[in-house]
Amino acid sequence: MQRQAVLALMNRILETQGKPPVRDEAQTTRELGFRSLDFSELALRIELEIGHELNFEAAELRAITTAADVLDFFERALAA
Amino acid sequence: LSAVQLLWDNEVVLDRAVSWRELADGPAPAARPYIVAVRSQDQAFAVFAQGLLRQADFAIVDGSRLTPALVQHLTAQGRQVSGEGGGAHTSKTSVQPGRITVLTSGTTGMPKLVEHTIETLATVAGAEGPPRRWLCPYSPGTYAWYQLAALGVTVPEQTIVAVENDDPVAWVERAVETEVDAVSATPTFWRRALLSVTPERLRALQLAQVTLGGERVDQGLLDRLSELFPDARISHIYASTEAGACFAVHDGRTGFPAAWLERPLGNGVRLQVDDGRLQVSSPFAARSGWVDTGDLVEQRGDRVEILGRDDRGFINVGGSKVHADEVERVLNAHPDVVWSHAAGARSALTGQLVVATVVAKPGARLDESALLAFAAERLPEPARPRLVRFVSEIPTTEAGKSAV
Repeated sequence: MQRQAVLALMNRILETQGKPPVRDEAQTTRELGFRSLDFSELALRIELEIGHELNFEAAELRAITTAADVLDFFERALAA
Repeated sequence: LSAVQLLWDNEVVLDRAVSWRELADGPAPAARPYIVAVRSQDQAFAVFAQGLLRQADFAIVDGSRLTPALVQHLTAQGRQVSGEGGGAHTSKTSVQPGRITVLTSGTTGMPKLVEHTIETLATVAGAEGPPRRWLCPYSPGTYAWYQLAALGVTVPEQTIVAVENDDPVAWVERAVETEVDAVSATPTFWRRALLSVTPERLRALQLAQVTLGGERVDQGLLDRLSELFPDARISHIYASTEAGACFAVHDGRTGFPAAWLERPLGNGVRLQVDDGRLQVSSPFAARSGWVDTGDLVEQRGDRVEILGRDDRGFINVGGSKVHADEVERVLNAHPDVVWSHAAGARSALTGQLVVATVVAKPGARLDESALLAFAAERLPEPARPRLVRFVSEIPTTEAGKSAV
């Protein structure tokens, strides 16, 4: 699953809530209104797409502040 | 108290910083039992203090819970709802001074109204203990919130520092800044903190007391907290809105000693197991006699372990209890939905997320986004389904009932 596909899912989650999509990966999750439940939803949707659970280090979540961080996080989780 | 806003019958009667004394002498609601929907911890403490000082007959509910269905439910029970989202309703019940009505979490549908007083709520051991500065992350109006609020107003030198539950980083900073030395919270609250905050930062909390309640606790969490806070007493308490305060376990293990089933506890609480379910009789309960807790328990050696709820249970989204029936009720109200089933999907971050399986009306052009938007308008955030799977048939048993 490519980064663009993850971004598309992220945008879909935002759009369902009437929020604007990501226009710049440097935008912060706070600015985007992308909250912890949205992050969890994104993980769930990715897992459904790939057909198995993601493995990731919870400690990495602490470093997430921007849309790019979110996409990087899932890139790493998908590659693991 | 800073920036206190009070509303009665949707009219703002106070909107500024006030002292406790001024609050006691300030605007009062009508002489009827009333429920105030609050929007902040400050506001909740103000309403609580005013209610106590005036011996009022009152209840507090978090404004985010106050859906039109809940207002209707409360109105039908003769309660006046004031504040956010509420309208003016004539109460049909008579005033009982000093009555504090606590709304249950509503895991079996609409919340129940359980009657307490300051005496039955002030049960957190504090009078005989050292001075403490407690962090209170509980949602205003919940039983656990009242317990801490009652501790703060009835026991000298017990200070309550209230925070909003949503952001673990923020509450840790606030707790460090205010030199909190005791935290009472749910296991989920701590799991979220462990995910979001570094162990080094958590250790900056100089905690002497960690109290867990509201959910089943697991050994891994107890061990992790003991590691992080080696000088703290780690306790888990068993209490509920209806059963009242029951017991606290301080030995670092899950469950409670089986010997407790054989004799009344020091606080007068009695415990028994009937058909695998825990029953309690507590002097702090809203009513006397045995109360079925609905929790399944099992004796293992010298210990009684709490296994979980014996009913369908709830979906635990980041510590918020979501009842699947309520989600289904909303989904089923959509004109293009024939049947729905709500469940919890595992989530590493929030414990669970609500997901739904839906059967749409034949020929209906209903898509996931439209249904999610429909639900978002009618459900509080944790209860909103995050994913919808459409199926063509309702799964049924041989008896023709829904199979899930």
